[in-house]
Amino acid sequence: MKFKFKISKKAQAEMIGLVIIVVLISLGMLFMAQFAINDKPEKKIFTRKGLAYSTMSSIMKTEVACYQGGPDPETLSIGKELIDDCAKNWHGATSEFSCAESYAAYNAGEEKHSCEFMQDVVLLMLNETLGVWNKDYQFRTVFVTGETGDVVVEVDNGGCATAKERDSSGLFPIYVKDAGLVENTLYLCD
Amino acid sequence: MKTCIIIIVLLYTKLKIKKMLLRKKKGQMQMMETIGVLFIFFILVVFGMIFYFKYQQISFQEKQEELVATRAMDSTLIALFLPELQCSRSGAEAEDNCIDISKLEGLNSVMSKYSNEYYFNIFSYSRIYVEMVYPTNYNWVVYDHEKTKINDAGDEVPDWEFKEPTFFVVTLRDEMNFFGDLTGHDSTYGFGYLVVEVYS
Repeated sequence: MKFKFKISKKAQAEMIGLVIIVVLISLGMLFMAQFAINDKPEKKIFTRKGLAYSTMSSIMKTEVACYQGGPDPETLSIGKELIDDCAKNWHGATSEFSCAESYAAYNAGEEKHSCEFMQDVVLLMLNETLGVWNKDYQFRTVFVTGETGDVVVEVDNGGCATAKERDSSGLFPIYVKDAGLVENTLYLCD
Repeated sequence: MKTCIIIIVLLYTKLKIKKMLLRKKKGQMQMMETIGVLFIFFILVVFGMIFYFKYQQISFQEKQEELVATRAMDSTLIALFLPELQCSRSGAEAEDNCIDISKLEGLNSVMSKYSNEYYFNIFSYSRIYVEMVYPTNYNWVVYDHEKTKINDAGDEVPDWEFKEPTFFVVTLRDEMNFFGDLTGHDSTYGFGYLVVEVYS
């Protein structure tokens, strides 16, 4: 009886040792996981947010050449004339500005609705910048009607719509006379 | 009688020797067990040390990269708000994320004159350039100071381990008809980006 009791005590002591080792290993693993997960998120978020904002503000200011009616193009600002025209005529088949990207394209009859033209120009700009830097993005111009909105321009290279880690440029609201409010947003993710 | 005593003594001695041998065997077993435990313990300690030093090495490298990234970010912000580049109009507030092309065109002569002193104190070893994307592709090198060394053969070779590029999208303002000369149509605002590459 005494002998059995001795064996049981020894087994208990060994069990405690084993438990301590398991607890120590688990703590080590948790410590490592914490380091792995917290991979400099602050700097990344700051850079992404800044980049999204600067990209959006630059797009809005940029002026594009619109060939319609001759070799001399009309200069339209994306954030002013182009969005204005797109917001006013997005539901129609034609718009006030029917632009071609070059004189050759104009001659070939490749004039586009202002919304389509804006989409192509924004796509080109984003592809040559964010696309080259391997960043996923989603650009949206939403015509706000009541509580919901209608997406009038969307440029999406995939992957950003459902991404968990994404930052937005913030809303770039533009009020269009005789039409309503248009909100422009750029989402950026790695 | 004498023989009987001898036999008893012999049997007793044999028993004692057997007992001693058994105890010795048990002691040997325990010794082996202790050696085994110590061996495993030292192996674990060695693994722990290797892991720790490896982790320290990686963490040092990460820290170094982080410092370079911070320097790149700082340099980018300085470059973005550099009065020599920023769009401004007399007393009005300067425009955000905007680079004036006329300033950019004129900066070359200033840079070549003060690149080694004034601008080196600001940007250190780095390369700053502006790429235009719209209306056409074009680029300007604003500042270029690569970290180099002279090797045994007497040639100048790069002397840096990391290069951290930071990008910022900007508008390019043209009031001197630079776009007109390049593309044939006038517009005031183009689209491009500023790149700051920091060497370490």
